[in-house]
Amino acid sequence: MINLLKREWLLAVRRLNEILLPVFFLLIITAIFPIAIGGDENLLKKVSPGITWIAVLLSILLSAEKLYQSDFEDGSLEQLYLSGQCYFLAVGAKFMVQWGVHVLPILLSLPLLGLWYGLAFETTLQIALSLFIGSPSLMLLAMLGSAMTLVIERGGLLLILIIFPFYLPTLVFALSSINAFTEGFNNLGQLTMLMAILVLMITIIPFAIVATLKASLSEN
Amino acid sequence: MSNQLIHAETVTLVRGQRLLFKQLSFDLSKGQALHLSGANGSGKTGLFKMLTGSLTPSNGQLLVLGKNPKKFAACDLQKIIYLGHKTTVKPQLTVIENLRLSSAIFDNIKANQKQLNYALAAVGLQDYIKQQLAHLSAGQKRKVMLARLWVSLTKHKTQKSLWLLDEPLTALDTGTVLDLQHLIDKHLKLGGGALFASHQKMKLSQSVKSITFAKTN
Repeated sequence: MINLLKREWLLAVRRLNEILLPVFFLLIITAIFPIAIGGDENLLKKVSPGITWIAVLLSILLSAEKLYQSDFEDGSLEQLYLSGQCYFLAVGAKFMVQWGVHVLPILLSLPLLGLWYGLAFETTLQIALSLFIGSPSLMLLAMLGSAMTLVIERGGLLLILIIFPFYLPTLVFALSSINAFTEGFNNLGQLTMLMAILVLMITIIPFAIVATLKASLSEN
Repeated sequence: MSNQLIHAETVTLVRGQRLLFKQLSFDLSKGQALHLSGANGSGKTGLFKMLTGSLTPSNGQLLVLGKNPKKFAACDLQKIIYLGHKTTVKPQLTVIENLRLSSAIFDNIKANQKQLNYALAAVGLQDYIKQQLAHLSAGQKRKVMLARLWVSLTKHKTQKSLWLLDEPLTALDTGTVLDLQHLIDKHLKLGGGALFASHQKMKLSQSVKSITFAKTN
């Protein structure tokens, strides 16, 4: 597992632009929104959670197509299968590193967003919490979509069509939890739903990814 | 334990609508090498995929290490090294990182710095250890993959008893071809077996059986 993690991490950090991409997304979207919708401070405070989630969504979606592509093309996936290593460990290692690369930078730059839009510390914390619980589900779905479209040439559009509908429940409950909090309501229900979705994804998706990767190998 | 590494009896492979080969029978025992030759698309790679359990024979019986490859457990797979057409190396990593990580992940071998250096020197890459693979030629990338064989032989002399090498000589210079031949010889002397597909002949001191695949229509 350590070697798998090390390999994924080295590959990720050697593509520095991939680490910086999500932060740039957040910065660009954050800067463009006030220009597009005007400088109404209350309105900006209201839309800032949505902006953050859009940045995370785009960051994950754009990376999704390539998640397994190079491993498939250079034969690493096949070698991994033939090594007798547990495929679930490889899925776990990729998940941890990809989540770390695509979501963690946004989580770390959230205080900046909070300052930019004048958000209360508690609201920024709620955005971070919803991202922390919700984004792993999005990453797992992206990995499944990537595995499903491996043998399809230019499967990027198909991948988005397949996984986007499954993103909606996470998105709805995450934004609803932040809205409930800012309006002074208890948001425990929404956060519990987010957690339930995550548990469901962690239980099902790794099996689906492993089965799909194995099927892709026999197709090749 | 039996000396037999591979037993193939009247094996037939059909992919899609195409018959690749039929009624193929052969045995490979410890200390033996088998050379597969034949036209492109005649089923050599298909046979490798059957031997590793990725493909099922359309007909006939195939046993590898005494088992049906489709029913291989992790411990069975760990007795085999399969090097295919694809290099499995990453251009973003350095030569030594590629070798260290692929040996550890794909072959379950934790080699130390000295063993890695020895393997890289054996394939003539001692001066490129810290170079990123993106800056190396296709032949050099292939050498990094082949260096796994040297690591395997230095570290676990007989653990990887069966070597399956699909076109191992592609893009290699004459010196490395000779070194690879010596290495395969050493592996066979230690009781291992090797099956390789190649359009060139290898000069091994051990007995080499040969199968030529004809292109079927």
